[in-house]
Amino acid sequence: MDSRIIMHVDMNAFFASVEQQSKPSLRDKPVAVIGAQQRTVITTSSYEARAYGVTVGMTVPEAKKLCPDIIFVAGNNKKYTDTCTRLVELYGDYTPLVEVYSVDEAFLDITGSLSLFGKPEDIAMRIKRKILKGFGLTCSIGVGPNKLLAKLAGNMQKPDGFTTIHPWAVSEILEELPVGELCGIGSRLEVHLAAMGIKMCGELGRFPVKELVNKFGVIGNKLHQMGLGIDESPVVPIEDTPDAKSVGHSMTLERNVSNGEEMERYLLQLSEMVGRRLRRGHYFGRTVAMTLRYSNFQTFTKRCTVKEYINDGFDIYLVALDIVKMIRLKYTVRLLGVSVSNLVTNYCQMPLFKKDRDRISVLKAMDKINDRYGEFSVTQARLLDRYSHKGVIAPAWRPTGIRNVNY
Amino acid sequence: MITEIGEPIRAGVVFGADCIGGKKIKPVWFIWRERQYRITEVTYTWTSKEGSASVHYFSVTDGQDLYEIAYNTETMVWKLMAVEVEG
Repeated sequence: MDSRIIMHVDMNAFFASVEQQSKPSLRDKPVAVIGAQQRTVITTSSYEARAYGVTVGMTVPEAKKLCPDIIFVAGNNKKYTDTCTRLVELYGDYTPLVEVYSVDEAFLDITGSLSLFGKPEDIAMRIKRKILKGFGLTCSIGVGPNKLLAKLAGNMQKPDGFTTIHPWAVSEILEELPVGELCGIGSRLEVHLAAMGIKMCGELGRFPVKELVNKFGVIGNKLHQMGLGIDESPVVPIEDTPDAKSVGHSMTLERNVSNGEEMERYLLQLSEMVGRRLRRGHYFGRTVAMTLRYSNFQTFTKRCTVKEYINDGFDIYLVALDIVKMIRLKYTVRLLGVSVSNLVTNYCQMPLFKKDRDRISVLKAMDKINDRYGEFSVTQARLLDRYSHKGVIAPAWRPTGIRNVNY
Repeated sequence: MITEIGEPIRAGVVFGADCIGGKKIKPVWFIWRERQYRITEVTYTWTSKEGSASVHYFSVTDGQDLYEIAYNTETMVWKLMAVEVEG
């Protein structure tokens, strides 16, 4: 499998670079993109801001303290998701095997493209030139025999870099490479590995697999392979992406709430959003989960499974409401989320009663109107005064299919 | 400072031109409240689905201020969405 040639494309400081390209006055200045509302954190910072230590996840005051001249820009998710969609089209000119890893990263399997477009570096340079000319943006490209090594290579030179890890150089590169540099090994896993005396990838590759499996279970095998630079996972194009296991939405509220009525309105809005997406993908689900985050950031999820498969937002709302009634709020609520899992597609149960048949007809008519004129053009009267929530781009967002959310 | 406007404008557009973002239409001027603004650079473009309509957004500058103008393919109307004045 490792005779493949995989390319990893990572857009540099994506959201911040898009804003700097859009607004010439921001170019070469420390910029941080924040959510469209006040109560969010930094989603991306420009390289000029990173030089001051500003990183993703910082709050506005934290970033301001490190870099007093930093400019905060409210993010525009439509701009970023549309750019991602067009970048994926551009990658498709070189290979049909494009996996959208996140809104700013993609893997390309170019094994079969070399006879058409030349060496991997020729393809990389063409892509970089097209992105710069077409969007005014830069990217870092890594090439390797698998996704793990391509991503590692891509991270080696930022911004605007190009790095190749050749198969014959893998063991030499990994020998002195800290394990945390590998995609999939986070800070907590790094601490566990360090406690076992494993700091470098070379040490991880040589460590007895049996001991890794004893400590980490099935992941132990995977870690061993990672230490050796082996990754047999294929590049999965969007059309081959497995069906969604759940469909959900969450929102950080405008302000913390403790009032039941106000919470119910947010839940209804979230449930209607989930219902719309389920119906768009012809999904029905049976398990409704409600996520709640208190003002002290304590977060929990409670689930309820019903007998019937549902995809009507109001039915989802009623189940979510049942869950809420079982909770005794300890603090004010900062975030709410609703999701539906246990999904099936194209489920069909003929309703027995006229009122249920009428409800289905009403839903169909509402969907048709909202398809034509936009979301919430026709909705529950209680949502006329709904929260205009922009949200953040979910890691699971993809340019097409059920994972596509129109922000 | 960004000011949201949302008013219809008249626009001069070159079809078939190469515009940033791979767009094949490039606005060159627009008239808002009887004043003409000459576009010196289209800095960014993106498209959004609003119901069944595709709305093409253009971030443009006249060399001084930044404007966001949008073309709705269904209504065929150009609008000035927002103005960002320097300073």
